[in-house]
Amino acid sequence: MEMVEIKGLDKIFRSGGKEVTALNNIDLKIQKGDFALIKGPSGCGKSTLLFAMGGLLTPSAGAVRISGQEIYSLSEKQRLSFRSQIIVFVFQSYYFIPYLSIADNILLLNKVDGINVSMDAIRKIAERLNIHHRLDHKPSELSVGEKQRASLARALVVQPEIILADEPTGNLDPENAAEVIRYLHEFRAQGGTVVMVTHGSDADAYATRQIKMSQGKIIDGG
Amino acid sequence: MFWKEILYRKFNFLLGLLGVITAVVLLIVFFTMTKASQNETRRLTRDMGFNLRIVPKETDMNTFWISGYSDRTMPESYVSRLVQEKSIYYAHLTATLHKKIIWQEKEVILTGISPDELEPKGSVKTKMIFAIDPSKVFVGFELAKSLKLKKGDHIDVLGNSFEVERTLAESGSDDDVRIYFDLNRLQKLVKMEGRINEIMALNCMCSTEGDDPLGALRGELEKTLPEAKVIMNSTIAVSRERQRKMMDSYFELLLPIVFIICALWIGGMAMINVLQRRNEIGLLRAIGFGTLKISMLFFKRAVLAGIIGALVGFALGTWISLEYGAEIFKVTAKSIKPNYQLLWWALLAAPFFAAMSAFIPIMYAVSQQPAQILKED
Repeated sequence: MEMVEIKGLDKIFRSGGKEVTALNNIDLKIQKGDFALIKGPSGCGKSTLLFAMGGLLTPSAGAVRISGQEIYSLSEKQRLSFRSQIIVFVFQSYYFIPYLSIADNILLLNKVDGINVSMDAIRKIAERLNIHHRLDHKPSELSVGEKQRASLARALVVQPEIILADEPTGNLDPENAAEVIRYLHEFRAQGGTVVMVTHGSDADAYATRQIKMSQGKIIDGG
Repeated sequence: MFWKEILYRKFNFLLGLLGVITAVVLLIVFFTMTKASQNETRRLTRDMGFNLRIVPKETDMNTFWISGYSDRTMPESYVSRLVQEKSIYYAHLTATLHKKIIWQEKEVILTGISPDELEPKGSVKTKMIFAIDPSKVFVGFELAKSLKLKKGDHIDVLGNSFEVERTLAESGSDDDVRIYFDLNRLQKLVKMEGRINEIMALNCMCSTEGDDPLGALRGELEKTLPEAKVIMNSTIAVSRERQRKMMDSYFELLLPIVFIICALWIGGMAMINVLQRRNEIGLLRAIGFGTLKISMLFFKRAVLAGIIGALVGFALGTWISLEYGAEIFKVTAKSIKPNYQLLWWALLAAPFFAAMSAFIPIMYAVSQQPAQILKED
């Protein structure tokens, strides 16, 4: 079953009268249960593709289907509701709200329509990711490895169908990077789909496929 | 999240709040002082007595100024016509009749005063005149002194006997050679029933627009009573009124400037807050927050600053008015007091003002592309 289906996707950024083509006629299918890596040099459009795939960046042309639903044909409200329960993001920079504890950061998800996360569920995930002792701490009090595990906990607690990870190991030492990839692999092993943008080769061993990009185009693995 | 964010970025919030407080303080001081200023002008005018004299239009002004009253008469019913008008320019309308005679080998003025002091429709004011019993008279200072008259004496005027009810204090004007009667009694005495030759009134000087209160008054009278004309004593009250108008025009100039500066200041602080929270906006967008929820984060913050600003601004503005207003408005210092109606207005207007000032930054916040923010870092 196709989890993601992208057809003829273009993204052109316009700035100061100039046009920059970030994505050029992308066609891509990702199956449910895939652990897909998107690789390529900086500026080749990897992250742009990931954000467009996740409903965060309206494409200039083309279509993105997630679980068979064309997401950009939905209204903003419908799209938010649809993707918040299916798609989650994990970022290189974790992105926590600095004045909230880790638990409150995760509980913030309850303000999104259709999501209901209990404190029990948060504790269970936190124990699994070994950050349960950090739930009442502010993000600034956590190590980088703990921050990324907390960010994974925020992603996993909503039991998504697909995780879109933008260089999640980019700031981590090899040990922490390996641990994060292991958790992503576990998620995939339980039936989830992972699409991960990366420069490195940490995840190669777990990947079911690798997609290579250059200058806004898929040049291999599409 | 809302309160924690404010605590986390309290300096930014306090600076924004300062803008709201400044605007509210200015407004409170302006309105409180304006009220005191109006009261002072009204009080000064009232203390000087009637300052408007409405006389028949055909009155010869040379004769008027020499004799001290109009040699023409008009129907007493003119007073009622003035009263029917819901005017804002005059008050305490009193019909009078004056007649000069030789009495006890002296030239004296007989003055009849209507016991009914009338107000324009809908207006209620304290009385400025005294009612005189038809069988009694008041005698001016000079007359009483020269004829050695005192309270309780009986005098004969035009063949009728009257009891002296009061001898008046020295006024330094022709009032000192007057004998005051009840209007109807004098009308009968001089056989001029239903006639008067002057309506005395008080221009309160508090509501006239522009710099020409007399012009406004004449314009109004021309419409209501074309058979009459009005004479006004130019007095300290006029100067006071002009000073008040000058103060108003300063405020009128100052208020928009200060408001614009405050709005820019509040908007600037809101923009700094939006820029500080760019990552937060990107994250919230990524986890599923829509435009409304993002904008509400900032609107709620602005509204809270507005409410606190209204309360603090009202307290501070009132304190400034009480503390310094008494120095400026000595006559009505006691009338400068907290105007709680302004508090309610401030509580309505300040949150709206703060939210509108933060509108552009809020629109900027909701227009942020999450992908752009999350890719930048």
